[in-house]
Amino acid sequence: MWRRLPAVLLLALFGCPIVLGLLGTLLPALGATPNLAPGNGFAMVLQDSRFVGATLLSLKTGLGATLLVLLFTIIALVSLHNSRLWVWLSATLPPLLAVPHAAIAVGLVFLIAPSGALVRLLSPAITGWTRPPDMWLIPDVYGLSLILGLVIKETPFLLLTAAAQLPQLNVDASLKIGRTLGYSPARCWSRLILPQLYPRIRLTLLIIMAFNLTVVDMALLLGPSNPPTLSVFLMSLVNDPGSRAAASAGAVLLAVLVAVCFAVVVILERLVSTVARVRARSGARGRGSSLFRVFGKLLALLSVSLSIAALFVLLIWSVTQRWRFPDAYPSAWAFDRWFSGNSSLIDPAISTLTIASAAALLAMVAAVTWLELERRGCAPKIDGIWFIPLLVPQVSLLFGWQAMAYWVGADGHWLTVVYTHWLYTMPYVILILAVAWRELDPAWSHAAHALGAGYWRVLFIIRLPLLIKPLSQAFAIAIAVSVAQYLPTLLLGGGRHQTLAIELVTSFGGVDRRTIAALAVLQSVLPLIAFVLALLYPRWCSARLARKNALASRQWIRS
Amino acid sequence: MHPLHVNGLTLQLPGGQFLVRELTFRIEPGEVLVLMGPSGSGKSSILAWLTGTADPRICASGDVWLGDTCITSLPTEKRRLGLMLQQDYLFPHMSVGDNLLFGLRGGTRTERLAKVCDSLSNAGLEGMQGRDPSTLSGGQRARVSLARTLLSDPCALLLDEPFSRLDTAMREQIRRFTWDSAARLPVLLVTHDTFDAPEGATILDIGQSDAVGPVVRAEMKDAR
Amino acid sequence: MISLKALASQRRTLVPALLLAAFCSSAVAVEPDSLWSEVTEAAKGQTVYFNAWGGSERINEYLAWSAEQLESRYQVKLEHVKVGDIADIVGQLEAASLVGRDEGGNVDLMWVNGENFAALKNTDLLWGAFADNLPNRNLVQDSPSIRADFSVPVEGLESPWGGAQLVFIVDTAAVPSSPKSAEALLEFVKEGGRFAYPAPPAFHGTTLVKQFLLEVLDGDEAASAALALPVEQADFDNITKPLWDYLDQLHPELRGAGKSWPISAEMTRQLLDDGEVDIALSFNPNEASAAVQNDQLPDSVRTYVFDKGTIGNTHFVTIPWNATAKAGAMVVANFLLSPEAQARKADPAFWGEPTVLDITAMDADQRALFEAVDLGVWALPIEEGNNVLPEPHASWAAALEAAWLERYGQ
Repeated sequence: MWRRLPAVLLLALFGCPIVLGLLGTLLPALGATPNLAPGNGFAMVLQDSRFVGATLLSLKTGLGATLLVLLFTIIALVSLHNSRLWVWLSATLPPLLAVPHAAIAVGLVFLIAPSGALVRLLSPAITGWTRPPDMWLIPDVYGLSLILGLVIKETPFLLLTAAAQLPQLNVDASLKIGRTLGYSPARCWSRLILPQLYPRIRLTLLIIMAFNLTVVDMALLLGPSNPPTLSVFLMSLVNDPGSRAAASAGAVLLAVLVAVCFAVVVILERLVSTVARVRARSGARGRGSSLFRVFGKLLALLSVSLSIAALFVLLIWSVTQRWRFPDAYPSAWAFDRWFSGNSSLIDPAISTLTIASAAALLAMVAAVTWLELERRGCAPKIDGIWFIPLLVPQVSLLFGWQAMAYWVGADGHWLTVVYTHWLYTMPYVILILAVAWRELDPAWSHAAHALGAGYWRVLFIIRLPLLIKPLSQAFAIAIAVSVAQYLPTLLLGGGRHQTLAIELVTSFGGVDRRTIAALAVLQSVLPLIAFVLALLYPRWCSARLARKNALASRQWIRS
Repeated sequence: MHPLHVNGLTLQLPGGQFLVRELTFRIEPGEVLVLMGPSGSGKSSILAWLTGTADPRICASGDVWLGDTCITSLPTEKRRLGLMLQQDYLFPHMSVGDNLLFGLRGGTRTERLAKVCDSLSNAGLEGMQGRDPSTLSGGQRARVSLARTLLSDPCALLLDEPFSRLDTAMREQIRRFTWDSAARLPVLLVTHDTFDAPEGATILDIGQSDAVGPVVRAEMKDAR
Repeated sequence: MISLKALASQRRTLVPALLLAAFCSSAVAVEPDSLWSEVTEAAKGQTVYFNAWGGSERINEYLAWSAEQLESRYQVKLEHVKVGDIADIVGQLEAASLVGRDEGGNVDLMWVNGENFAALKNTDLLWGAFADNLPNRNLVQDSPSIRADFSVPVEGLESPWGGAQLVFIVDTAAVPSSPKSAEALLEFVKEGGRFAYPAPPAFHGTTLVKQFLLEVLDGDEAASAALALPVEQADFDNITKPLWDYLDQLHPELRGAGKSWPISAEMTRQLLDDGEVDIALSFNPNEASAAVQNDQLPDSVRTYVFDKGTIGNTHFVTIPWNATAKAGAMVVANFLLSPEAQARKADPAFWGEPTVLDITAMDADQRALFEAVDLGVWALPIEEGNNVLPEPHASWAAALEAAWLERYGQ
């Protein structure tokens, strides 16, 4: 009983916001809290003329983006396998993954809008336009720019997850065997490798789908505004006590919608795998096309270049003083924005960094504690639990969690914000550390124990230093996740914690593209710095150790 | 069935070293050619070249014929060369029967199922079509793997040390099963164990002439 | 909970003395009418969370400057909480009131006017008549829009901060003769002119819709009179019919074809600079000057209003009932009214917004601060600035927004 207590406490700490949050959303929706949210929420939200449009838009953009992410991942995987382009891409994608969604979204707007950098570059020389064309708009009314943003941000995530699984699937041998049996490479992928791969990326795909269906910050920046997506629509309701019940009910419906989509995916999965099995049994060989591979490579290059170009445009705008349409580049530069001790950049950066560091540290301590408990048999192996916050829509969880915070007067406190961020950093940290923890050869600790070292000594002197690489990686990813969080800070921060994500989204409607760009650049750079440090720190540690050993051996020789 | 004929095969590493130089051989249907040589002598590269899956950095010349058809520039899947590797590579997401159905070419549904049943009973594995491959023994897996290859109706069979991972008792049994099953095909066997070769097989030893760099000495020997 | 709320309001009105006694040792409990010396004393060391729209970097910088001044002069720390839409904060305050958070609130001072002020006043979420107690109150102009905020009497519950008037910024390089009425604007877009306005309930969008309403009702005395009264007392559908007829014609010709809208007036200004539109909206007659000087608009822009005038109003700052740093908030509100702060605010080099102070009532030194301000040719010419139309009653905003969304929101 006592042995299990720490694990139970940790799980309770993690589960509390989830359970209370969902409860805090459900109760007002049912009209059980007339003082906070009077009225029948479901009736109110269903009667709202914007609800249906917003729901359809969310479904269109969320499912459309998810389908494209899956499709592009498969195409990229097939066409990039064993290619030189992949070597380059696999080094480029992880840093791109760390760039927050909001920053990419803003960069994308600055890039592809009618008056964006692309048109500027081509005008008037090639296009003949001296004024921005009025053929398209960003954000467009169909949600295409939102889909584009989601696809270029989420595809690398799924692609890297999938690529990490390939070594366990004997891809090359399967291709060889399949081809000598008479099947084209494309058929080998679809009949031999993808059916084995899919179950291993399903969780990531569902996380991406839940995200795409419910994202707020990206939908605010790239999505249509009239009506907006369902989660953005609910955000516009939640702050008004008169419509809080409606917002809560909408958030419950959104959670149900996501659950239904999960169910549909499971059914589709069954269907597709049955059809695929029947077709694999048919022995039909068909013919393959190599055009496919060229197309895939182009697609991958295009999507990565779009992200990089978006970041580059942000960087240019952040040092621009004047850049009028249709000039290809700024006519006046202003580098001092970065060096003048600008408090509108420094304050949010500090706020972001302190919250991110605390949330990352908390996640590290919690994950290490859990994995150690698990290793010693004091905690069960339940990896799935940690992913719940990523599968439940943020609005559905956070509306209620915010209401709970109101009740106890905890909203606006720094610790509340950090606690809520922890919920979202924990899954990634434990995902990375669990693999490393379970792979570490127990012989190290056994040997150390045999030499008489106690538990704590072995943990701090042997295990943690041996795991320094995954530990630093996990820390960097936790920082990146926290830096990108918009909704938790907005809803729980009571306006007192102006992080970069909040500043960026708030000021996006405002005028100064130059400042917005600077904020976005800063928001992208912080996680990148964390990544570089995570890369360098383990090396620095081993270099220091080598120096120390060299010194010690010299002293030993001298004596 | 047609003979498998390799004419003037030369394989060169990116650094310019020769792996194989001017290798020519011909295997009649029902005949087994055993390719022997120390590791690194290019045995596997020859097989990879034959199937069209060689590393693109290796520079190759020469051609390969199946009877009157030159298959040198055909893609792997059109060459109709059955391949068996050291591991059986039964696809883990398919049942034993599905693995065999995947290999089998053509036929109506009922014909296909009947053929698979036949080949299973030939392999001494009656009624195992529903089994998960991971529940089979090493010998059973090897037999399924060979059956799968043969069901794809190959014009020649290429074997890359297919017996090396089996224990001694099993090895003899699988060898016999292999030679019985492939009696009508030209077979190329790569191995470093002379006992793998069947009675009457031709042995081709590609050794290495030391310091100058690996130059192939192709020499036909009579079988033991 | 309802009883808690009643208790809270009772406490606000009936037991200040008791509270004062309870907290006298800490000396932080000021009242709206406390002696100013007590207020400044209590304010020392307080942090004031000022919830104000944060979409303009110049305003943010102005507040950062104010924060420096307040820190050094009064030891009050000003934190600008940048808000997207102050209506969200009104909602948060209502929610806090419903759960009984009657002290230690997150908001000490907030930037409001119009329907948000009306909402706060109606739900009794304002602290008290602190504005009349501010020393700089004596310098404030006496004007209708300062006495009543969108026809709702102010009664000292909020302190004026700046004047505003709906203006149009036009790029004269693209548009030789500016459309100076709703009718002319319609002609302008039909002939290929580029224009767009932020969709209501965005503040500027709502105001432009109100402006259109005033224009299409021009000459209808009865209807115009109804606008000054609460919307419940008017025949809304009948009065607004010409407005919808007008918008039905206008919208297909807009940038975005009435399906996609700019987020804010600031965005229309950005679009003007990019050339995506020819005319931008602003509530600040001097904004164009500030923007040109800050390299955000081309030299060729000018500011104008419609021939028959445009809607003008005043915006304010106020203190919620549950503010934590009330004394500090009063000090901030008073500082924002000081001639020095107002003159800096009026200067397009910093913000460039008309002052709420009466320059004629000032001494020579104070007046000199304002006379030094150069508005530039890009700003609204002073003589046009007198062409101000009054806001309809505050209740019209919500009704118009709802009707607009009903028609065009899907």
